[in-house]
Amino acid sequence: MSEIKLLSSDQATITVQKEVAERSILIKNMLEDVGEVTEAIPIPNVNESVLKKVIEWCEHHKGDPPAQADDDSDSRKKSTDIDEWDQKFMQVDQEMLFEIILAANYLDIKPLLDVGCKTVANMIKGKSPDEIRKTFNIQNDFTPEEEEQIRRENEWAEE
Amino acid sequence: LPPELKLHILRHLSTPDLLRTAATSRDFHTLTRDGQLWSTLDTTTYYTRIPAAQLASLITTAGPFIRHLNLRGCHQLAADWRQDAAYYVPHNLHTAVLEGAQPSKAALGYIVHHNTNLVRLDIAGCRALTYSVARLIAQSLPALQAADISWCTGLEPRGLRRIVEGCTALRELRACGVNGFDDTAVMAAIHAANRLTTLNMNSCAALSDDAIRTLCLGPYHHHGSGGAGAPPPPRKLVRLSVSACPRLTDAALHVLAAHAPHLEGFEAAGNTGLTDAGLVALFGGAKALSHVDLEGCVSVSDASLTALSRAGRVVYLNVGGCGEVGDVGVVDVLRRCGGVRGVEVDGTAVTDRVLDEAVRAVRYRGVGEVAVAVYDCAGVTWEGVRGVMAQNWGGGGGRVKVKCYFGWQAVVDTHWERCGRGEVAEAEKVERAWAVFMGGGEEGGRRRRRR
Repeated sequence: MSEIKLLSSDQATITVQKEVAERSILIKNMLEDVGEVTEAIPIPNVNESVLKKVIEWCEHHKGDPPAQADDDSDSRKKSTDIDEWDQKFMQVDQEMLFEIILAANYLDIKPLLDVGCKTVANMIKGKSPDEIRKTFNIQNDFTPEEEEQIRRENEWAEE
Repeated sequence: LPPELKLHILRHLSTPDLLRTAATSRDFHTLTRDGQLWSTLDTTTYYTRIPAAQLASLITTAGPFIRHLNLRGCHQLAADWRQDAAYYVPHNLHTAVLEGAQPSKAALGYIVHHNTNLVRLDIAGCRALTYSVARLIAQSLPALQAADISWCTGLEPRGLRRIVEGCTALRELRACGVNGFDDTAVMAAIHAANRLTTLNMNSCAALSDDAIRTLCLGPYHHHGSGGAGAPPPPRKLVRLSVSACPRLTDAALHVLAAHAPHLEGFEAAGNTGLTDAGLVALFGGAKALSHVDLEGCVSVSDASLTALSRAGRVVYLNVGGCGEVGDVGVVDVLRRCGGVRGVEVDGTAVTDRVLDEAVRAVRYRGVGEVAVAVYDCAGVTWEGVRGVMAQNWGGGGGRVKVKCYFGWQAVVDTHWERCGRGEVAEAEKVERAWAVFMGGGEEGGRRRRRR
């Protein structure tokens, strides 16, 4: 089993099985382009702690079948079911959660990106606008009049 | 997070959640208007709560982006005529479910005329479907594959015929309670096209044997008795529903037996004119039949079921209320059909033998789970039900889900749930307690409790 090295943004070198690293389409394509590499591949957008977390996910999911081609974005994935291991994996502070999403996006690991986004979606579900603002620290920049109008229009959507 | 990742998150939210997110800040208010979030507008979870004006405004804002629109049951739109305008906005629809929303005739016409990519149209119960709208459907919707026009009683036979002739991609037609299936021209059109795989004519009271003959053989079958010309190609029908069509008799079944070899689903509940003679013929010809509903066909007996079981394909069978049906036929079905998932034999003459056979099917023949409805069966005793419970907690293989006499059902359900959760000891306790309750432990086994 061949191994490769990754270099995080804060200059930490992490050794990982090639098969695991190739869950990232970015790294996979890179390896295909350059062939055998001995020095560490720089991942300039991701720091060590996030990269380790991402690799942990890739190791657990290395045996997964390749994601089925999106059966048309029509069947809009409203379902926010997440498997148990992933749920536990995503129990991190919000900053880390967003870092993982950004890293998954940058490294092109679609299933991880999906899990991350679903986790955030679950944090929004069923909350009032006020609660959502508090959860994500969003600044309310509506004028009182606008807010009143939106509130009236949305009355039916309140739980 | 950058906007495209925010959108990625918002894509997982339902409409009410999305609207609440929009109310948090200007940034999100703008973001949630992104078209890709609105390709589906499905009101299933909130159609009773949303007022007409808000619903109309949603449709209007999202309109150009909507590909799948489900407004089932949104009668508030019809109650407020001012909101009809919302129907004039979407023009990229692939699916439109408008059952119960009662668009005006003008609005329905507009939708049909301006959404030429429609694949699925469900307007069951729509009063606006008249001949002129039907003509528009026939002219404007070349991609339409599935239409539900059930209970559109304003539709005339010639409108129905237009749809059948004009929509060249149509495969599934659901038209319960619609007039016109007794019309030779309509049936001849369906025959000539030979496109439909699903045809639902439930409650079309006028449907006659002769109409079925035209459907299968074409309009000239009357002269064809001498055998002139080649027989028509086999019908493509896979699912045929003719429940509550009281005029149908065995003659229709004989025709179907000869010309509809691909049938997998056959529903003919409540048709008392059908007897074993016709059904045996049908089951001999349509060997792929897997879903059969003959509930309330009181003349049906074991002979039909034995014939049906021969192909070994039955997945679901309903002969509820067929008093002539007994153990022999139902046991044949359970024994010969390895894929069987459900048999409803309530109100028949079956006994515990049927339950025993179901137990054998899951224990020895690899049937994973089978549901058996035996309520209102005087011949089923609690001993038989107890045998099923023994299988469910102790026996190897699959399980049998029983629906029996309502006085026993609570116990059976509790037992089923405990077995499902793997609480074997708990399940056994339920079963023991029940045995004692039913009349002094083992002695009780002798006692017959009947409804």
